Amino acid sequence: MQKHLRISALTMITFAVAAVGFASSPVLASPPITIGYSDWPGWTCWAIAEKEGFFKKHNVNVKLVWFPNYTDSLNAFAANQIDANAQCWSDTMGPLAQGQDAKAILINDNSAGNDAVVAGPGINSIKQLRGKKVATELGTVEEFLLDKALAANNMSERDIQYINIKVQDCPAAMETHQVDAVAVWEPNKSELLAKMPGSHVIFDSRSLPGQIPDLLVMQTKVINARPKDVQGIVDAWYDMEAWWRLHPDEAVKIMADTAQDPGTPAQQIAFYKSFIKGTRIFDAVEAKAAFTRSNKPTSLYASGPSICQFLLDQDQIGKIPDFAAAIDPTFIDAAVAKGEGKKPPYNYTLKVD
Amino acid sequence: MATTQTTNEEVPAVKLPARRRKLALFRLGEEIPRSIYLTIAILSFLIPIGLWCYFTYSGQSNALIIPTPTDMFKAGFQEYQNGSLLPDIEISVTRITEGFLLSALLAIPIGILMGAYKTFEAAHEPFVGFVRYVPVPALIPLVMVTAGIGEPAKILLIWLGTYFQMVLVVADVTRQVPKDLLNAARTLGANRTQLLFNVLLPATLPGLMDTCRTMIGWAWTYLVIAEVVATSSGLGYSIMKAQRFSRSDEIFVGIVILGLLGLGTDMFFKIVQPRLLPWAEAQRN
Repeated sequence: MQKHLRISALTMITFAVAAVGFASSPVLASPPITIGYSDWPGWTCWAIAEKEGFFKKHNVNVKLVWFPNYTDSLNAFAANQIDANAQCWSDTMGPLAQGQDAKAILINDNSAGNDAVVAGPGINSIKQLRGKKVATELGTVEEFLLDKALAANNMSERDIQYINIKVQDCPAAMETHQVDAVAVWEPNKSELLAKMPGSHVIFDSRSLPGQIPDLLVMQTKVINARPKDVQGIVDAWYDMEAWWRLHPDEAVKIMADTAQDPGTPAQQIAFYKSFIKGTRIFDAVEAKAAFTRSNKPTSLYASGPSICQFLLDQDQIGKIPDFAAAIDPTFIDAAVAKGEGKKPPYNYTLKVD
Repeated sequence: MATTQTTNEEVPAVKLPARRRKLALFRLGEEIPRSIYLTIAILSFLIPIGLWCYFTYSGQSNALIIPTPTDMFKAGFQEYQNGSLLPDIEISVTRITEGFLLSALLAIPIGILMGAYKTFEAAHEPFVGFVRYVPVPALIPLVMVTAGIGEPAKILLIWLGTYFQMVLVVADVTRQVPKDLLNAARTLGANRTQLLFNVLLPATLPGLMDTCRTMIGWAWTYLVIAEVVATSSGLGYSIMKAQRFSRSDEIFVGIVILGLLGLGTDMFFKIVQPRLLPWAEAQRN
């Protein structure tokens, strides 16, 4: 009898403690919105929002999920394992065409130099790639960059020998002279330029304004269920931008620390500073322009058709998805109306227009 | 009245009522009726297929990850029509065969030597035991540097995945040849060469066949890894491409075909083995 009393007393106390615990943390009681992110300056800065308490400030429970491999984050989002993902516009189209119900709610930046075609000595322009072996990863934004670079010179993949190699393996292929040029993103681009003498950039994303936008894409059902929380996330983003502007060195330190790229902490920071230089982060006004229908190259509505056409030609998608329906400007509009995000994290010479 | 028949007169054939033997399905190691075997085997496929149909057609599953069977067949048919399916299968089968044969050609002699002579074992087994645990995808840059980015690179990756496992299993099989057999041969005056070729080798053949059968399954799983580097054809490539573009229907076409090819290889070994090595069955019983 005593044993039973002890057990039931213990059980009641446990439940009571649990109940009090749950009741006393209202923010934790609501399930967190999971945001996937990977190594890109426009995305690692989400860690700043978390660390500096901007999510808490706007009463939103966010769980950031780090992906060392960007493609894994795409797969996780397509499998509805995360509520939102930091990804490119071009990578959003495929799942959209396959029926994924998601919307872009925020634009972080445009790639402005981090994605590049790197060639060896002797090749100084895209035109000289004719007939040469050029490697990049099939179906990625790098192949998109390569095709755009070729198209700008009245060429196509048929005029070169395209070889499908994962971006992380491209530097090795270049250094061993198996290929003549590669299209790579960071940190492989810096790695290649540093290790291979005579290698240089012959084309990069600065020449493609608006074609490689980086966004926060979220599942529609989460947007519809928790619009206040989504607004909180967007508000936290612009608070983060303002903080970054006031604390540039601390910001880079947090971002480099999150990414853990190879090297000592000092090397990581040095690399991240150059990584940030190749990323054109948008303030709220520029973001609103990107989410508005116009002919400006940075407008998602303007870049959508050309991206989709490329994907269609590549047989990546079977039909052009209704990307216009996947652009949700409400949260950015509200942020602009509140006067948030008046300046980007730092002054860029590269104009966004 | 108990009587015992001691005379040799013919006993009229009395038709006894047919006593049905109790259906025993769970006797250790005993055979079961072929019809029952087939029924259970077919059910083992039908049940997962049934679940697959249920979850996809009812819309409960994520279409980006699991396609409906209809979508899968449509995608397969489309791949066949645009002429990529059969060449993909052909080139993958070629790569697997070449990689596997290269593995077998090296692993069988070296493995037998390792199993037969401790000197060879000491020379090779520790190294193999170490390399065996290195994940093959991590070796891709190294392979690129040594073998380039053409077909040899893909064959090498398949070889790397299978040789180190195979050589150890072959060595084990060789060690399991009963010592009595070898001792008897020695008593009868066999010299070293005769021991190796006339006694050891035939004794290991059944085990070798089993090894090959298991290892070729292993080789198939390395196809997707091998076709990562610089490919534009093959089943592994088509699965990866489909994965990149979130085409779950094409992914499943690739998976199902790989599965069927693996099953076919397995059945081939199952049929060929008793015919080539009839003494193996006798050995088992």
